[in-house]
Amino acid sequence: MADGTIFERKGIQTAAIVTHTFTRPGDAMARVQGFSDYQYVLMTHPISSLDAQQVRERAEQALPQVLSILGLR
Amino acid sequence: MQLYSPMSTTPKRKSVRAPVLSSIDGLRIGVLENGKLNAEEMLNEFASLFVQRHGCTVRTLAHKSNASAPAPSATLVKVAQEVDFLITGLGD
Amino acid sequence: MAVVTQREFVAEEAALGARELMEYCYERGWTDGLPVVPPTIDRVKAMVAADRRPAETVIAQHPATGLDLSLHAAAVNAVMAGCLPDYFPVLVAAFEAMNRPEFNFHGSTASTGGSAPLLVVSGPLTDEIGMNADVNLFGPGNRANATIGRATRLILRNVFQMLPGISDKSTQGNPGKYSFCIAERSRGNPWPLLCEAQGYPKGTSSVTAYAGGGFCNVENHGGNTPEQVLASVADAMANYGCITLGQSVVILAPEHMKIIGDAGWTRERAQDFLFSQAKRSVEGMTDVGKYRDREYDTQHGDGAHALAEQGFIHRGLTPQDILITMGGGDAGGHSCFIPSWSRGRGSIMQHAAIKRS
Repeated sequence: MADGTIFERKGIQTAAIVTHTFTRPGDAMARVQGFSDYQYVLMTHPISSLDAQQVRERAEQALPQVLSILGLR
Repeated sequence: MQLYSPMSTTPKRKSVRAPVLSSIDGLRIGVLENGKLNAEEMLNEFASLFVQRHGCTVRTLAHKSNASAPAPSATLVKVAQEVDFLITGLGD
Repeated sequence: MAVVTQREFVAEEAALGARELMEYCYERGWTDGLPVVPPTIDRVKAMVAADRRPAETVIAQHPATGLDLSLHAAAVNAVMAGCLPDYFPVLVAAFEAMNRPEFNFHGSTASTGGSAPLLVVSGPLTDEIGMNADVNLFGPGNRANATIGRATRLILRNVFQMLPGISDKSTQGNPGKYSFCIAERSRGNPWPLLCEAQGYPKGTSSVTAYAGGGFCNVENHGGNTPEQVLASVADAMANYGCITLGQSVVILAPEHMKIIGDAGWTRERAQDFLFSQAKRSVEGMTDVGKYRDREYDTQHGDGAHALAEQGFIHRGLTPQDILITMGGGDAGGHSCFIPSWSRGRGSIMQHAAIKRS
């Protein structure tokens, strides 16, 4: 999350992917970096144990969120 | 009786998000994965969807050797100069 | 009806004030779950004076958040932990060591791994400030050990906002997160002390900070050779729940150290033995789902240590990844092994000289 906010401050739109168990640290980090309501892509935890097909499916499902965060929908 | 606060005395900062994109067609994507299992694979999937559907290019793949620290500034500076937007990931 | 003497009246009033102050600190979320010493202005000023630099001097910064640790903030938390001013230089040196990127105090604190910074203090200062290097080494009861370790946690919580459930995602945590600070034992130690081995001038004490993931008691009352004693330590180091490429801390009980020292083993020989023996086969690692090509390649690729055996994953990358010294009471064949937080995420133990005003 720190990376996402650092890039935002450099003027680069960023879509950070966060698994749902890490939303509180993600929110806390964004707040400390000065963002009061930082939006990110939320995925179900965990990702580490997914196989290749499942990774593809998750990416496809989350794509609308990514586009929304980048300001496109 | 007066007590000192134990919290940091660093001044608070206020930040705003980067300007939104009007279109991503043909833009350059930066991918920054955090070294955790499947992070690279997941972000590569997103990147390939953007390539296929929006004609984007994946300009840089930058790796963090340490998922839990912000990417070193040299990495950040390099990637920032070469991309129009970034996808990055944390958490397992 | 009882007569209330003046002394009882004064005592009661003071006790009421102390309780209110204690509750105030709880309500603000400033504590580790135990009551803290209210950080009054006088107490904090006395603590800051233990370091000659200005109170606003920054001694550590959190890269992830940009939050600073000033001497002032360190002093406030040291007061709250119950430290005496004499202990403050140890705490300052510990954070100066942890501030180095190689230690990665953010990652080791935030991670699900639940490590806590273990502080090992070495040198003459341990006696000067009354630290414990002896019986009940990791246990409660010694003010210096207890409060220096506690202040470390309070700083991580209050200054850097590493709060459980928010930016501290430890799955289980570990008891060391209350306090994890010991003194290296010099009495009866046949090896050079850590401060000497680390290259500091004679008379300079040091603190070593290490992201410790837990505590494993290694009991062996039957072994009477260095190989037997250290084989049981190596086995603890290589248990499937602990084995990683990470570093290790081993504290040898005096009974065990006597066996090893009397046989003429140096620290280096002990490190070599432990590194060569603390290993698991690739098949075994695969069977439990912990084998990673990337890790095997790191250990056996360019720069592989000569003792790294093909077909095995060893704990650590080199024997120097194992900090080993002596501590604890005279009686008992109980040494201990402290596993590290993840090396893959980048946490390497760091040490710093303790500077006194």
